[in-house]
Amino acid sequence: MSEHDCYRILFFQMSANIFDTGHEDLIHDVAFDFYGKRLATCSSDQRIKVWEHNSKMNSWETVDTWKAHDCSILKVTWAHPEFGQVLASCSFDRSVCIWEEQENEPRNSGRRFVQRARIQDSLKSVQDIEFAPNILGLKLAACAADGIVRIYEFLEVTNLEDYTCMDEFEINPGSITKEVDGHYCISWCPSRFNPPMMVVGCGKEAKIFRQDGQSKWQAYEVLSGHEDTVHDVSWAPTMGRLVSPHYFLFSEDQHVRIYKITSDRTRYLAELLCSFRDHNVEVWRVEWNVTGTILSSSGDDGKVRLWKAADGEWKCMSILSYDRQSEHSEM
Amino acid sequence: MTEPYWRSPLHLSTSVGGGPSNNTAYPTFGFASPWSETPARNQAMVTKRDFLKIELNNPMNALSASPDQTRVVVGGHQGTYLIMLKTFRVTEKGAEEEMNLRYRNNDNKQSINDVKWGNQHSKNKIAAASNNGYILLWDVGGGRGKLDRTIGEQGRAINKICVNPMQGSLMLCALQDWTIQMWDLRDRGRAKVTFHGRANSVRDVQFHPSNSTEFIAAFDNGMIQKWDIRKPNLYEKRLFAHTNSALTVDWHPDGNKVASGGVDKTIKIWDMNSDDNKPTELIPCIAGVARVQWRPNQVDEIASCSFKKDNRIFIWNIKRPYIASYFFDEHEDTPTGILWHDTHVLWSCSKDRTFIQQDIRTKSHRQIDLLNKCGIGWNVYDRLAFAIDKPAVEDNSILDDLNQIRRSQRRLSPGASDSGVLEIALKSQKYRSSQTWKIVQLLFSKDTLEKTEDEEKKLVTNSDNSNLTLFKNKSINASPKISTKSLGENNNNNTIQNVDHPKEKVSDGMQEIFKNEDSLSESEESDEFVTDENREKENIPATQPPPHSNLIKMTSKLVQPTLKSAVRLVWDHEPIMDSLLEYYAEQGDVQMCVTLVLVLNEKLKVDEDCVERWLFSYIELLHRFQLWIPASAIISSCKIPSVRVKNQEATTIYTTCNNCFKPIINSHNGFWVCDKCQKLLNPCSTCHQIVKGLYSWCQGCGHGGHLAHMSEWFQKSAECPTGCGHYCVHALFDKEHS
Repeated sequence: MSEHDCYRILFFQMSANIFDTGHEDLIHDVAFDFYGKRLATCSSDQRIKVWEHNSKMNSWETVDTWKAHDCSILKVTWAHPEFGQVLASCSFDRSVCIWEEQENEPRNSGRRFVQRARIQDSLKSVQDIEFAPNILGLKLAACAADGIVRIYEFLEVTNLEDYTCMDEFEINPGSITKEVDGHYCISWCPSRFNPPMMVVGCGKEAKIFRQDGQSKWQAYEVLSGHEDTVHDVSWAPTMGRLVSPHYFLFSEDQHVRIYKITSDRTRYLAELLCSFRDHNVEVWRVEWNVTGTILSSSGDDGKVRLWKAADGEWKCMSILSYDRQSEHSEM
Repeated sequence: MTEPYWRSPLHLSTSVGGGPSNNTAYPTFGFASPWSETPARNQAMVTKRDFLKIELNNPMNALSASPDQTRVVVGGHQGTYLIMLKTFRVTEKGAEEEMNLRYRNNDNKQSINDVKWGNQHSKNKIAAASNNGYILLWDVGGGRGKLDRTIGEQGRAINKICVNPMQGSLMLCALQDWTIQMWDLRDRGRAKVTFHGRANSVRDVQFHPSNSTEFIAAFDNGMIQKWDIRKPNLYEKRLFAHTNSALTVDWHPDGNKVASGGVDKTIKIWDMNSDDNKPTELIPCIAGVARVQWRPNQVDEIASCSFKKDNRIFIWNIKRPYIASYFFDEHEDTPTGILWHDTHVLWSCSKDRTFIQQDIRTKSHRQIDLLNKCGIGWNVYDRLAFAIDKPAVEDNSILDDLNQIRRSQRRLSPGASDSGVLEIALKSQKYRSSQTWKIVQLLFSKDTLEKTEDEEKKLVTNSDNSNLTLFKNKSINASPKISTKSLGENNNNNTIQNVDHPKEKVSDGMQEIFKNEDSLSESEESDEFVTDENREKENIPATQPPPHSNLIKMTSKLVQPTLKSAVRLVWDHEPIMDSLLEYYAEQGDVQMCVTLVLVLNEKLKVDEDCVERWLFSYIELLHRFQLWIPASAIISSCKIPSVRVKNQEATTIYTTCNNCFKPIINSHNGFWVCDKCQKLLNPCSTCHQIVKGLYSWCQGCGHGGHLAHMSEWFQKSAECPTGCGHYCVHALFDKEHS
């Protein structure tokens, strides 16, 4: 796979499809749904847009646009389709919203996604949300700038208004954080064969949280060695790999780091596989592809870098950027 | 590195740090214009002011600065009987308390709503408005404060007061009882003029910065009104500004624009010279807006604070309404008063019993720095979407990449165990996969002898299967090799034959899967893939040359020993297969793992947990591609019980009542009656009883019931027994005849 294909990509012009979203300010997140047919975007203009791919025209069409929050929307994420067409969003306005599609409402009516829940437990902006692996049921973890991770469970799929805050734990117990000091990010371990785990990026380190014997969430492993704030963590899809090698990654100021998490029965070990500083600017987001073989990272330079392991060594295999002058992507 | 474009507000040229040179932009006048810089003040602007936090004993409600901007008064109340004001002399070094003005009164509900420092004639006066209708006037001349007098009358609360910037003796009071009163402080009599807004309680009032006769008022019903003090009968202009209370207004120093803030969580900017009754800009805020104030020397910037829930003070640029330019997060409770000392220094007081001086250059935060500017998403089709910004254009766009990087991991690779797969793999340029299958073929080809017979049978029966040609090739290719090898293997045959039966089933399932996957790959890759392939063929004429040397090296290692051992009786294929599976698992190619496991079935000894993980991942992948049929074929063909139950448990049918459309939950009534509307679900149309067992119905109108009742009815009538008007028998009849 691999070397060969890596080279080959250099020969091909990428076909890039650019479309205007009509958002009035920065887009903070894009999220594909489970099937990859739909795309949700959220922006500082307080709106969420849902797009659907039209394969005939090879274009993206809006399903709906609506004002979702009172401030910049930081994240948007889809629930597993077995729970219906459910979206969650979190915002600088300190709330988390759950949206569900109404099939009978016309498209682009602004009513197609109805707010099922508005969770306003946090006193600071909610910075990251992620649905738990579907095997655990419809659960949502949200971490806010007040340094608390809250896990909500939706007991009945038919009644999303009915949620309970199952767990709540402090990331750095004892420390009071201000809005600007706390930058937290979260990622669930996608494996269904491990006990529920998540990695939380907090300040200059990232911690792996698991439930202890009393099913309280505890930080077990700490991944340190960062010089600056961790901006994003992303647990790679396991793709049937053994319990042991979960890769996961985070980005922080200017660095992209990939860790390999292995387990020996009692505990998990994190081994730093590699660390890159190719971006040379702040890296904001990292995202794995579906099989967990390619990592994409994007930073302040507006470029996306793709990383792939070739013979066990991670390398940057291409840089995607949007060239404004020539109106097509450069390789 | 230059500052990234998103730091500055969109497509906007701001005059950040313009300082003294900007002075000409505004008319200079007394108190209300801290931006009319004296040379000494310019000096102060250059040096950054230290952060200053003064702990006070009581929650503070309002603050005001002296005309020369060196002193500040904060007002609050202590206990229930004491109104107190404190004045501070604020210098570059710090602040020292000057006066402590107290007023003991007998009304235990009295508190301070607003405090203002006079100017010009009244520059030594401090006015404090209380909630019971009185204004307390203090004289602070000579460094000592004494209560001068109390004006006003017992009545409803005064919400705000404002001193005219041109004529320090004129003072406006915004009253809770729907009126605005104007006082002349030189005149010791009654209120000079009373303006009747005829709207609602007056929340805020402010004189025009340069025209001493105009003022603007904000009302509880969301209206803002512009008045001329010479025409006390009617307002000059009114705007329905907010959907809920308008709490605050502020004239822009240029005298043309007005900013208003309200409970409806918006700040709106109005052009007072135009007749348009729509705001020129709208800033949506997180919480209701209690105070707004334009930032001096920055044309488009405005500070705001909210009256509850939010302790932050935001500084917005009206050209970028969604992301605040700066914010201060120093207070621990809601700020109640904000005041620009100069372009960069903001004073504020709060319910948290503090007065704070903060410099925007040192203490502020940029909201934009806290926001993630990049969004990336991957989907199963290897599309990568990421958000890009075009600073020159208003819209943001998404760059949606269709890349072929990971094609190698696409569905394509597998096939049935041997050269059939090999060919598919070769065709789809999966050299490594094809090598793998070649190895598998070598390792396990002894089995194919038996298999060929089975498969040839299959050829006859399922002639429509597209994969069959491949299978035919396979058998043909395989058989000569086998004939040479199978000499010494007879002793193994018995066991193999036993194994073959379950295996056949698997390969049935697999064929279907591959068919689907082929079609999938075709549709997915579409024509682009074809062109790629062509190009590939041009570039690399044969499949063997250097580019693949790595692969060949790797595989030859595996192949050579197997060739040598071809004459041996027992193949030592387990380690090879183990390393093979391990390799693919590490690559994340669960498809390959699953196919190998399923095809080779029990000949492989793989850890069952591991297989389970592969299967679950692969099934999820297939689900992502919406390949339900192959997924369930995989589920039913595998032997692991935890996977097999997926096919039995995963189907849920939601039922709803056909009367009230509420979901039907299995209650003590069973599924016969809807709990919500207490009606029978689908009773018999003739006897109106529950139909248990056979339910026959007309497909035309959907009505039906007991078979006996239905046939009895239709012997007599052709029409539906419910009287819906449908001729059920005709429909039946027509159907039969057509």
